[in-house]
Amino acid sequence: MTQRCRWRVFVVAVLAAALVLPAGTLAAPKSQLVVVAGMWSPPNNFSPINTDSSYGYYCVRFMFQGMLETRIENNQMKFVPALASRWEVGEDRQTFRFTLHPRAAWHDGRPVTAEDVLFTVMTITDPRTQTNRGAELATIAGLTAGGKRVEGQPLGFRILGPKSFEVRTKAPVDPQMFLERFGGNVYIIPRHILGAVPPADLARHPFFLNPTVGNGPFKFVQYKTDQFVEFVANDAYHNGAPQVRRVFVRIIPPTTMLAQLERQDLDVSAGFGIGEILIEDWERVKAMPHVRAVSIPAPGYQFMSFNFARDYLADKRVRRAMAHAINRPLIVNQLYRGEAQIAEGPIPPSNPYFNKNVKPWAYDPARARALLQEAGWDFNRTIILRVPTGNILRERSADIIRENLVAVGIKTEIQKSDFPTHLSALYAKNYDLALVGWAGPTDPDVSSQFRTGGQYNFTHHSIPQMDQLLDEGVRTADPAKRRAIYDRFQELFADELPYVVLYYPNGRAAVARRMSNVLYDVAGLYDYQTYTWVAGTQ
Amino acid sequence: MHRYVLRRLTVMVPILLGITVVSYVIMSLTPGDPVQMLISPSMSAEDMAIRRKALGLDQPVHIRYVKWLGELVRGNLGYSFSSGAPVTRRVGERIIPTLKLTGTALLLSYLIGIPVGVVAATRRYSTTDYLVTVITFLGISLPTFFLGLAGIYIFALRLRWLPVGGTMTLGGEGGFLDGLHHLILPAGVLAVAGAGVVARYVRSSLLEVLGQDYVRTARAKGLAEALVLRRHALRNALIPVITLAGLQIPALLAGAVITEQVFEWPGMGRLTIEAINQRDYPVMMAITLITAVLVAAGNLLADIAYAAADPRIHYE
Repeated sequence: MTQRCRWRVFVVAVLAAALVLPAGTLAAPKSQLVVVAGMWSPPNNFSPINTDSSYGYYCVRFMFQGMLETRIENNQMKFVPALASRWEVGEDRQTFRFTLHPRAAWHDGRPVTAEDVLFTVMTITDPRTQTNRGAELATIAGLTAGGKRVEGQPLGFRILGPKSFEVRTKAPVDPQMFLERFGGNVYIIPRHILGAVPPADLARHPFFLNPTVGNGPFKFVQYKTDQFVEFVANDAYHNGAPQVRRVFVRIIPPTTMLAQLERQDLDVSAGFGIGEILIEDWERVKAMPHVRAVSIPAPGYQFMSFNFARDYLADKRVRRAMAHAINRPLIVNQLYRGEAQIAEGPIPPSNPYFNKNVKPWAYDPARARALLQEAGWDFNRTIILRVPTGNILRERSADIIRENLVAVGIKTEIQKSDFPTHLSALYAKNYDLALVGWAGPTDPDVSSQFRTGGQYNFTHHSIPQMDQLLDEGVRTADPAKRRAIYDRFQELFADELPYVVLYYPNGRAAVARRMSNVLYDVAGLYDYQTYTWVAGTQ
Repeated sequence: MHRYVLRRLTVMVPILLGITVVSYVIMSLTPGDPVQMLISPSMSAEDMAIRRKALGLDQPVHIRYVKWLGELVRGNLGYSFSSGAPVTRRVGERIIPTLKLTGTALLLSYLIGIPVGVVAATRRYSTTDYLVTVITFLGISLPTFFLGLAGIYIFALRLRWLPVGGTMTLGGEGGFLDGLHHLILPAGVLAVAGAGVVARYVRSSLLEVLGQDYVRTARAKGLAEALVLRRHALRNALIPVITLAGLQIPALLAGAVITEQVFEWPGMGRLTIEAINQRDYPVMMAITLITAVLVAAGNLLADIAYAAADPRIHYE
């Protein structure tokens, strides 16, 4: 063998070794009850009271909990114990008593107490704290409409014992609304760790990047930047030690989720909005023998918003014409391949408060044209449909919508921009039509979006009758009466059409068949009762 | 030479300052606001106002800039709006993976590109040359996104030789071999386009040099062709390629944006996209500053290398 030849053989051998050797060591230790969940983007931080996104909360809820969890079963709201083992609703529908589970404890062994709950409430309601949970507490006595404390006003919170406390609301409320907001969406933070931190400095506290002390079924181990978050089972978890020993939440771009599933490197996709299976991959996922493809009606919807500040859109007939013009069945059947539903309102069919009697405006271009003529629409006017980039299906739906509108004589141009630019145009009333999506809580109070001057009233509309119904809805404590109010609200909504609700997409998730007890719930979006997960071997 | 370098470094300061002013203003003029976009039914209007104030967004742009600059002079890049972590930490965590990825890719693209370019040039108009031309053009024009997914399909899914993404095995200890194993695919994909460009440059530059009189003289003296190529032609032909290396650094970082996205690589490219999407101004400014410094340094290094490679070039 010549010198050169030997050299070549050596290089080839080294390369081959580099390629093949580690592959053998790669087989994931599935038998150790390790579970890998996948979501698209990294969490910003792990603050239970201030992480910016659903990605953050997906991780937070492995480690932290509120009093209870919300579920929807047979179109009824159900509450499952989390930190609290019991809760009682006073007859006045204004007093709520919670008893913490006797064994509920922090990961460092200290008990979770009513003091911790009070500390959490005091922190969120402090006007110096950066938080995004304020609206959840706003009904509590002594707080402003935005959920902040007012000096001199007593807070509606009373400690009854080390493990029990009472919360009082300003006025009687629908218990379901209160339990969902305060009970389900406010996670308790440790007073013994954060008690001494000035509220203004809390948002930058290193604890929220490395939350080693939580109260949930899993403990934080590490976050490998942009790659994965690692959790280990909390054996002392009061609702039962998790069966799964370790959980990794991996950050996997949507395009490679399929490959990860196929390689069996991924067990659970995070689901709705943060880790869904792409529609073009859906058939392949359904055909995978080792994967269960889960499709659930999700609590979100996509809509086309009208800018009421434009006088030519203020005529109800024009908006109705557009609702008739858009071929929603086509979007649902072809674009979403049937993985969505059509309805006409901001309360999805999966929600217990959905009004079945409100039917979507039918696809009827002839009727649309007639309505436009009746309203005196200027057929030479060109209007702008603003579309945010990022959600591919929504972007594609814009093309269909534009074509539909053009077909009935409304000259439409699409303007695309990134999401922050899109939103700023909405806030600034700088648009005609815009596509956006919402995913909300189960409670039907949608005042922030549809009340005059509401924080998220992107349409800038003001419909007195709607305001009245929304106010009444929040004030009414009797669930049956409340339901009747929101039924009327949905009828009014379909008539006034501040949005054309386009469709309610299903959440498309994938779960490895070796996993059982994984529950994707309409109310919870993702499965958080992770301590019940069971993972078999592969 | 020393004076030249010193002068260039001095000039860099006002240039960088200018860049920060322009970027800060453009960034602030960009529609969209880091607080406005945090729409959530759980967040009240008061929460939004508190956050806006805490982040200093209630102040005019010029005051915010002066504050930022003041902190920068003291070596503080501020805190990320979205995570609350110090910007130095957010950037620091990602700069090493990016350097690993782009450095390997750069090295690979030269290791592949130079010999390929030489082969193509010495066998001009042969089948090999045409083949090389076709392949290099393919390499340059195929989007990294496509190459990445194709790479994943072939090497991770079908052959199962390489992992789909990340820098280490889940639950593993990491280590050099594991890291290398995860690096091969993304660096390889990123190197393809780079190697194509290098090969094209080497080919045309070498062809030009091979036609020069001194090469003819060397041949006339009876030197072996290999020696002519190595001693006389290649050295001169590589000078423009050196410049290319300096200029490729920012391009590689830009290219890495997509590669990092596809391969779950925790680098600067992904941070950039995240920061822009979240309007995380402090992080955006830090990235702009680092990129500007890199571009300036890359240019300076290229010029210095140029002088070192070609004795005729002299900087005063």
